[in-house]
Amino acid sequence: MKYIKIILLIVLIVSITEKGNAQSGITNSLHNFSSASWNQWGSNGLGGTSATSTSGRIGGQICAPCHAPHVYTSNVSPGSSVIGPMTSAPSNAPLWSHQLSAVTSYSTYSGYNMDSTALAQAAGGPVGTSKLCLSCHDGTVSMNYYRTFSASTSGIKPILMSAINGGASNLGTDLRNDHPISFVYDQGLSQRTNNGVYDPTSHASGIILGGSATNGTIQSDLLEGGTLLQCTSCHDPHNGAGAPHMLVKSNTASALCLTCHNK
Amino acid sequence: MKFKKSILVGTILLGITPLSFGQIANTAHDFTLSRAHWNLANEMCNVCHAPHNTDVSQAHNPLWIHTTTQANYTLYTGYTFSTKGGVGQQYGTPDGSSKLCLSCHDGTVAINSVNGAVLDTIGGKFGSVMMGTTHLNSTISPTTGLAGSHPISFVYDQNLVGKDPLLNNPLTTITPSGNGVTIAKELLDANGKVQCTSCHDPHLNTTTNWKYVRYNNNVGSQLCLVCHNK
Ligand code: HEC
Ligand code: HEC
Ligand code: HEC
Ligand code: HEC
Repeated sequence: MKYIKIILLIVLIVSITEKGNAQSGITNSLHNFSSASWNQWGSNGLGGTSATSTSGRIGGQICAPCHAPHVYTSNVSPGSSVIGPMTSAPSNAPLWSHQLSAVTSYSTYSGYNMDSTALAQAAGGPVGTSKLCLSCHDGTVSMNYYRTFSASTSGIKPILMSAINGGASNLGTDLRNDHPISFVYDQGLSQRTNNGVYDPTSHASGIILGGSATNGTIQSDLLEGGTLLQCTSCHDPHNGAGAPHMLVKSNTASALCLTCHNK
Repeated sequence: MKFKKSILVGTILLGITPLSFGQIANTAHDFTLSRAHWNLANEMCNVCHAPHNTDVSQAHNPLWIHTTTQANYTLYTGYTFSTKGGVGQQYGTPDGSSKLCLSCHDGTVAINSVNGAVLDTIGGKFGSVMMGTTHLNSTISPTTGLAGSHPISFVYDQNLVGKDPLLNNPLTTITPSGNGVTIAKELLDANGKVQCTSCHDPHLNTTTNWKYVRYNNNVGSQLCLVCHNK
């Protein structure tokens, strides 16, 4: 009898855990800002739930804080608070509309045992997509500075990462205590570490996207431009995998770490 | 493009009685005399469409009469494309209906230029009305404008979905319009391409569809999410 109860309990726990598994997609993630108080185009922001042409704002927006269909120059220039017309829009894939951080001198991880060649690349500080993440997560730019909204927009009260959830997601500008990013991870690094990290060009990523395996490698699935390790090597800001912390895949039994580290 | 259907949907959603052609009235695309002093014909559609003498040199010609732009553009370069390791994808040179929009919005052709001539001026009284000088925010200039804009004029088909699993299948995904039609039918052109008109219907009423944006103004980002499975 006891035995059966225990089995039942296990079944119950397993099924709860299964249900508790976060669903994939940005809508089910902490990056769904559609009702965030600071999102001017969210349902609780100035936009409201319905279209309001007079204010020129639209409600319930999920993508707006980060992407715009047409990007206006200066709200994405580092630290800028001036708003420019569409005529001067820069090339800023992926249609980035959030104001970028003006910080240029991050302290970066200085490896305990890290490959000096790769480390030299990292010393320059974050580049590429990692800078997009840091435009909220380094804690210097207000969450609601996107599109045409900036410090000079009347009625805008800045909300920094430190004010959200006790600042749990605020990395600050000292990245020495964070996994290195923005460095080249190539076959050479694998050789120099004596296969301590796998060869990214041939080792499988094990990534599942949109329900099916990509059958890709570390290089094709996890490295920006096929070379750089970035925040996005581990995190998918759109929560594609539905893994905790928006990881690109579940880290149960450190599966994510072991994707690259031959330990 | 289901022009009439989107009017109907807009009407049903918002519960207002439509005029037979009232959507476009009093919006930026209404060029009647009280709004556009140069349009002496005082018509609503004549700057863009005409029943006769339309520009047959245009591959995409919805009875089109407005002078077509000859400009070349700096384009949006895809970032991650199919996989993170993918090479930046260059999207197509504007064609189809996008070329029609750009014929005013790139600021190189006068708004009041039809079939190569300035419309209805009396001895050049009004001259050319240019987008770039009068309407800066709505100008997508050839040199920079499209680099910062959503890609257009490229084929969005199952092949692309195969490369980027976070796109919905355009042949099977039903749009939020409530008409039970697919993305391909409602949002893509006859060649299966994404165009300006995938997101904008230039005839909508901008009081309810701000900036002519489809699906009730993109409330809840439903326009973006119909194609992007994020
Ligand atoms: C600012 C320019 C502009 C004005 C003004 C304009 N249209 Fe259009 N119209 C367009 C464009 C661009 C297209 C092509 C859309 C496409 O290919 O999807 C189009 C397409 C159409 C079509 C075919 C679309 C379909 O979905 O079958 C009809 C019918 C039409 N317009 C009617 C009108 C009428 C009637 C008026 C005046 C009340 C008008 N338009 C005013 C730009 C305009
Ligand atoms: C005949 C010239 C002409 C054509 C063709 C044209 N437009 Fe416009 N459009 C205008 C003008 C003029 C304005 C008003 C600009 C302003 O006041 O800033 C405008 C405004 C707009 C706006 C802003 C509306 C608002 O309420 O602020 C959008 C969006 C737009 N057009 C999209 C399009 C798209 C998409 C197409 C093609 C399907 C198109 N236009 C074709 C002339 C044109
Ligand atoms: C992916 C969807 C999408 C595509 C494709 C797209 N637009 Fe837009 N556009 C929008 C949305 C949404 C807005 C409303 C403003 C915003 O969200 O920033 C907008 C705004 C505009 C404006 C108004 C800018 C202003 O501030 O007054 C113009 C003009 C315009 N679009 C023209 C075009 C033209 C021309 C094309 C094709 C070259 C095009 N759009 C393609 C979604 C799109
Ligand atoms: C008609 C379908 C459609 C709509 C509506 C649409 N998109 Fe797209 N979008 C696409 C396609 C197709 C691509 C190309 C994807 C690729 O190449 O993998 C794309 C590309 C993009 C990219 C560039 C990705 C990259 O890798 O560079 C961004 C960002 C984007 N869309 C955002 C948006 C936003 C924000 C909206 C809503 C305002 C929107 N899209 C609406 C179909 C659409």
